[in-house]
Amino acid sequence: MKLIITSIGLLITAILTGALSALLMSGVIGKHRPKLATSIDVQNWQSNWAIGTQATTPYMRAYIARRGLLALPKSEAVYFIRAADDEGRALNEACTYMISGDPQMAKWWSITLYDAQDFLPLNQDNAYSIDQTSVGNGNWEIAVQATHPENHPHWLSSRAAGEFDLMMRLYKPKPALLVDPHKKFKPPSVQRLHCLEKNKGAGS
Amino acid sequence: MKRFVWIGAFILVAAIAHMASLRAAPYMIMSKVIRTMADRGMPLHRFIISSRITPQTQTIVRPSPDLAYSICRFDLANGPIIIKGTMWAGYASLTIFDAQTNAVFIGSLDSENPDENSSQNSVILTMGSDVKAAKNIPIVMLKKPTGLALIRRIAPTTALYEQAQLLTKSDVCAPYSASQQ
Repeated sequence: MKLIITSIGLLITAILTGALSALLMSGVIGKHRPKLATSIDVQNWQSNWAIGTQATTPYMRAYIARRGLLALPKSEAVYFIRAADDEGRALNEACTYMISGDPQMAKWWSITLYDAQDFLPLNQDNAYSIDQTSVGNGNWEIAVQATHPENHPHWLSSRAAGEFDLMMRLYKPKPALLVDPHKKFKPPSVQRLHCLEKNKGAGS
Repeated sequence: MKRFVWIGAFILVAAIAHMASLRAAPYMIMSKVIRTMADRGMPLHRFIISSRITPQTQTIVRPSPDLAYSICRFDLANGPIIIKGTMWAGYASLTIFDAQTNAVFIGSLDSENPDENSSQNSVILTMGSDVKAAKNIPIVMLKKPTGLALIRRIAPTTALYEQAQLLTKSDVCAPYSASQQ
C-alpha cells in the first residue's frame, strides 16, 4: 500500500515538474523569453524571424501563442520589442524618454507601448501608438511620458504602464531587411531624459 | 540500484510531461481564445469587426490600435467554408490561423501595392479532399476543424476605422456548398 501511494505521489510530482518547467521555459507563465538561434537583437530591439511560422521550436511556438497570438510571418510583418533605454535601463512610467528614428524599410510601420502584462496601459490618453502616417517620411521623434508634452506633436503615453516595453511593427518589410536585419534595420534610439526624483534609479 | 530506477522513472515521466505540455500549449491557448469569443456572442462563419482598439476594448495581448481587425470564427465539422476579404486602399491582409495558432494562409488585400499574394483574397478551407477548386481559389486542408480568419486593415484614424467597419459587411466567411463547386 505504501509503495502504491509513494508511486502515485512521485508520478504526480514528476508530471507537475515537467509541465511547470515547460510553461516557465517557454514563457507561457513568468517573464522568461526563449532565446533561440533565430533571435535577432539590433541595439536592444529584439525580434525573432520565426514568429508566425510552423518551423519554430515548441518553446517559441508556445511563447508566441501566449505573448503574440495571431502574429504574422516575416514576409508580411516583423515585430521588434524593446524594453530598455539606450543605457540598458528598464523602461518605466516614472521617466521621460525620446525615441528618435529614421524612415524604415517597410511599407508601413508603427510603435506601440505595452505594459508588463502585454496590454495597452489602462489610461484614456488616446496616445497608445504612433504610426508612419502621423510622423511623415523623414526623420522623426516621439516623446514617451505619462503626461501630455507641451511642445511635442508626437506622444506615446506611459500613464499607468508601470514598467513597459515598445513594439515596433514593420509591415511588408523590404526583402533586404529580412536577409540582413543587423545591417538594414534602422533601430530607433530610446534616450532617457529624466525621471521623477524617487524613481531615478528605476530599472538601472 | 532501486533508487536509480526511481530517479530514472521520475526524469522520464517529467520529460514526457514537459514535451506534452509544450506541444499542447498553443492548442490550449487557441481553444480558450475561440471559446471566449463564442461566449461573448461572436457568431460562427461571419466576419465581425472588433471595436476600435483601446485599453478598454482590448481582448488579446498586444493589439495594434492602428489596425481594424475583422475576425471570423470557423468550424469545419459540417463541411468546407469559403473566405473572401474585400480589397482596401492601404496595407491589408487576410490570414487563416488553424487550431494550433499556425498561419496556414496569407492573402494580400492591398489594392495600392499588388504583390504575389494579391490574387489570393479568397480561400476555401476543408478537412477532406473532396472539394474541387473553383475559379482559381486556393484550397487549404486543415487537420483540426476550428480556427480563426483574421483581416487586418490599416486604420489609424476614426474615419478610416469607420470605412473598414462598412467594408467588413462585404467580407465573406460562409459554408462552401456543393452548388458553388
